[in-house]
Amino acid sequence: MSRRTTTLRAALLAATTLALAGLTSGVARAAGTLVWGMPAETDILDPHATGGWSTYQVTYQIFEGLVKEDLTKADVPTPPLVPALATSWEISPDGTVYTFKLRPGVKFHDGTPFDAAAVKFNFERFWDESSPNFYKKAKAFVIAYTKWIKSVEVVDPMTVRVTLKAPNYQWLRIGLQSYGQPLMISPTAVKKYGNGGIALHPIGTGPFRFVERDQGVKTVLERNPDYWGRPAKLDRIIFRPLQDPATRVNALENGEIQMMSTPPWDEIQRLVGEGFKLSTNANVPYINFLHLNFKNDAMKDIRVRKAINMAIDREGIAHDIYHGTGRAEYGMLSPGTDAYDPTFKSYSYDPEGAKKLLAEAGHAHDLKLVFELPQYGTGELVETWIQRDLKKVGIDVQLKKYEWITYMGKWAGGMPASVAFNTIGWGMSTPAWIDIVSRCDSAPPGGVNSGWYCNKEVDKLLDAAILERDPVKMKAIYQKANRLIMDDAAFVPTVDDLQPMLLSPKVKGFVNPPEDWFDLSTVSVE
Amino acid sequence: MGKFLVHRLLGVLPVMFGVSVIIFLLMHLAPGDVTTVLLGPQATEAAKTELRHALGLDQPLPLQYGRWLWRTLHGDFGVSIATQLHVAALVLPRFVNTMLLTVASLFLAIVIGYGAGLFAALRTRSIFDRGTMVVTLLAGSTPPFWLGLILVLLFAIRLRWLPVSGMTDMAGDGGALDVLRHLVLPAVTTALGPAAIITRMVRSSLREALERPHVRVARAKGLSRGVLLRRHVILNALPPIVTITGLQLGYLIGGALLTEVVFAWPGLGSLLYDSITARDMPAVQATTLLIALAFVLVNILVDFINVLLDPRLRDA
Amino acid sequence: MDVPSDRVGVDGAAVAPPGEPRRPLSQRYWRLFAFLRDRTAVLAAVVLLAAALGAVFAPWLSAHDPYEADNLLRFAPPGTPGHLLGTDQQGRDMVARLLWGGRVSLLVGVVPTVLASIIGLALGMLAGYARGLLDQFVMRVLDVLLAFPMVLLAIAIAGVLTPGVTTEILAITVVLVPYVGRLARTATLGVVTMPYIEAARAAGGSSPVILARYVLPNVLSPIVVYATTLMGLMIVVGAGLSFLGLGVQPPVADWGTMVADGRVVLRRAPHVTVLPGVVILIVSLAFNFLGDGLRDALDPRTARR
Repeated sequence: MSRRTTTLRAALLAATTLALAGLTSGVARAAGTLVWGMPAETDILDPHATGGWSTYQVTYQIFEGLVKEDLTKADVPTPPLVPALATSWEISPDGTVYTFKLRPGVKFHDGTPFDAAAVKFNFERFWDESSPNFYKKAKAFVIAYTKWIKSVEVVDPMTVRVTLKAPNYQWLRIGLQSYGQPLMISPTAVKKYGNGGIALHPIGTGPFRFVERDQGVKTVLERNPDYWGRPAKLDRIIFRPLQDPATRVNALENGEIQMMSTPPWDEIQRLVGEGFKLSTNANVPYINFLHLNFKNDAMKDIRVRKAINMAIDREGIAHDIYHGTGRAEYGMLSPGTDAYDPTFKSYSYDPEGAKKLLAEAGHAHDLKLVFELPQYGTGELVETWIQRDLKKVGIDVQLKKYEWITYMGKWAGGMPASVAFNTIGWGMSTPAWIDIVSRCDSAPPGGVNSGWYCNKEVDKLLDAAILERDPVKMKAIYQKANRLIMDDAAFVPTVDDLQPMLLSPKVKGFVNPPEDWFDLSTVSVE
Repeated sequence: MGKFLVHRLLGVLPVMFGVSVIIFLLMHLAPGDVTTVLLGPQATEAAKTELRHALGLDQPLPLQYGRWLWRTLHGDFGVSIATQLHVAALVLPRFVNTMLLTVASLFLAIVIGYGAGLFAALRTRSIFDRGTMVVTLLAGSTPPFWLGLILVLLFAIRLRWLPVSGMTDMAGDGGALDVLRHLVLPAVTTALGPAAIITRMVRSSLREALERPHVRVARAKGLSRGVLLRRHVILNALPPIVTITGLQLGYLIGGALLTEVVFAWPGLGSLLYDSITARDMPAVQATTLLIALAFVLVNILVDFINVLLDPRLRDA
Repeated sequence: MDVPSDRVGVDGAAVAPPGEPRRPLSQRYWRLFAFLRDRTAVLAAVVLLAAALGAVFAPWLSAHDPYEADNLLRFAPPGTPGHLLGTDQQGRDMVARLLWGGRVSLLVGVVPTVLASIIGLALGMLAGYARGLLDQFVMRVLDVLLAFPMVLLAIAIAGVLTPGVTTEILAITVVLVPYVGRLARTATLGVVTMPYIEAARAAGGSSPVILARYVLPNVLSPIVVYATTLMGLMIVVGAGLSFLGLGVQPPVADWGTMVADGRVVLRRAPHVTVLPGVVILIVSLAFNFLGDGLRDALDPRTARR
């Protein structure tokens, strides 16, 4: 989901503790403490029953799956899949049977040993409706991963076999991108605290373990001294929701936080000048784009859709608004995927050409379009820019801005004919993400193909893509689908966000990988 | 007097009932579905339907409301949909934080408002009077999110005297002094608006009281200024001042949302906003009811004080 | 909502215990004269008139389109050739933005206040005049409204209608009604016990006639005064709603939204946020002084010495 998701919630502290904590207690000033100012409070910390990037930014530190994305490398096109709680896995020749060898000697933060029984328990929780351990809410979240599963068997205490209903070579990656993530939670903790209780007692195997959470104020993690891998450098991480960008900037300058996400674009230059470090990544797996509405009369005409694509000065937006922390995007494959082609161009900026197309379509001056957008709190710099660009080619755009949840409902529900286009920032590190927004059968209410785009040829290619085991061929198929989608001018990809992070000069070892969340075990604070 | 109180306190119940019903209806009127919030864009319709069922959202509205009311009357405010915390555990700490900020702000507002208002009234149309009015109006007309930012820039960034955000130092040693340091800027920011209103109120009602015939007579008789003020002016001028102070208190308890956002002060205002935007019905209901209760009780207290001051108002 | 104004109380004249009967409405000329003698109030009226005219005639007064951006001229400081007050974060002319912004800000300041005053006045007079059960009922309903989160109201209204100025106006109106209502009731209570009302009743005057002819003129003055004060404050309230994405739609900006959007770049280009802030201050001050002037003119008890 969009990184600007404004979900704010979840906590631990009982009624009076908060006031008491403020007045009496105190945390000793730890040497290696990183305080991270985030634009939104994270969701509950049960990885099976939650979603959203800001939440993954916390849960990635606490929980691990059988496989994980290696987020310690910045200069790769996509994070490599590496062994985590499974030391190795084998995929059967027909692509349906996955056999995982589990990592020996791993313990959950509560001391529970990690073994095949624990894996089985977790799959039962988010997948197996017949099991007493089944948790409905978890299934609803992990659905993109679990809908492929046919069976899960324990082969021996250190081996688990998962059989899929059909081959899907993006399945492992989907598991790490699906809205809920199939990470391993301590079975003891689930039994002790109940399914709902995991939200408040997140117990995994990761390099950091949960200490406390104060709803709307902070979430505190500390180093897991018994971690199976390379231990984390930091003693503590404190995640702080600071909604107001100006507050985040001030807190960074004042040393109250050492790291901030989504800095205001116009402040980056000044802060860098004052010695703060800017970190970006060119391959973050998400793109900003417009869904064009195929139910809207004007938008049914491909000339209008192409004209809109040609009328928007993406390079200008990237340069003047993002100040170099954005990059013009011309396709619908997100940069952080294997299939991304940085040289791909669909429609270059060509306002004159756009005008011609519009005139051909009979809309020389009179076109009025409605553009729906969510309240981001960034002053709608990009959206008003798009509005102005379209005005230059004779299209009058009316912006309709909605509070976030209202917008989510409208976007996921699909646009009515009266709306011409809407916008979202989304993506995954699997190119299979493109299915979600562009397939015929992803049309609402079953999916979030908000503009009702449908091209059977594209669907056929997407069907073939997940069956392709060879990464090179897979890449070619996705690129062909992308070409078809852009030939249809079904969407308007706009500008990629390079995930700017501002860091205090005291922060060392931070890696900004091609992903929307980070591995903080490599970070230290002087 | 006792009858007055009993009568007013009985009035609290229908008000609370009315508030809860309307909040309930408004939450249903608000677009956006809690299942979309909870399950995200990839959730299947079946999963959404199931969740709606699990949350009891597929039942007829009156039944949903009835269930909520029944539980609430039994002291069970339910579990917050978004945070999975017990609503009481979610709301009470926020209430404590809000009270801390409220009391501090009100204290400042009263000191500034009563002091400046009194002097302005005694020196009507003097430079001081006009100056006070302009300054308080200026402070009161400044958008608080903006004023807060200016104060932060000056006292936290430039001078480094005070912290930028939060209630405590995240990695610091905590303690009451720490909270106090964090309290200063938000308290001043929230106090200035109410202070401006109170100043105007104090000034204008004192001026009016000073103009009354009996005060003029007393003045003509040569009563000293202090005695005159104490005996004849302040007492007469108090009811509207108390009323306005009470309204300010009510406002502050309601939570100064934007100030809370700017200072990352975890109070009721931002909790209410978060709960509304997450369509978290149990949390919204509990928060609103708490705010409403506080508001109504403050109003009763204000009316009670006014009756004490002027018994003629009793049946008004 | 963080708007002192949404919980603001009543102004001095408002809740003050009713004194001697006020002058009948016929002495309008004296009042006008008194008002015109109050230089501050006249100046305030002139300022507001200028702001209103600026908003109405914005297209003719500004050389630039408020939505047209010059990307080479972002954050141009005041005094830049062609842009008297500089440009904003998108390179849009500040003079044009301020003039056009006044359209929404003044609308949001005036319309909800007037609407709420009419509704509140009617409810308050009814409650204060009828007393008894009706009074109790109306006052408890107002109590319910008083405890209302404006954000929720705005989201719900925006859901039924569509977000924008209408939503904003409706939400603010509903929130203001109980304040005016309380005030109107208090003022009515003070009037209905006056001998001349008794006399009118004894003379066989019907309730509507008494309300319209004797009560209304005496209650109107504090309401008018209060309303003018509220107008200034509502401009800031509107900013709060826009800040949360519930108010005006971009690229239209009212003054409050300009302040809110610009505050992020306060360090880099202070004028982007300070200028609209100053405009809000001046207009609020003007509304307040106008209110004071009207009070002094309308209410002989506080007439100048």
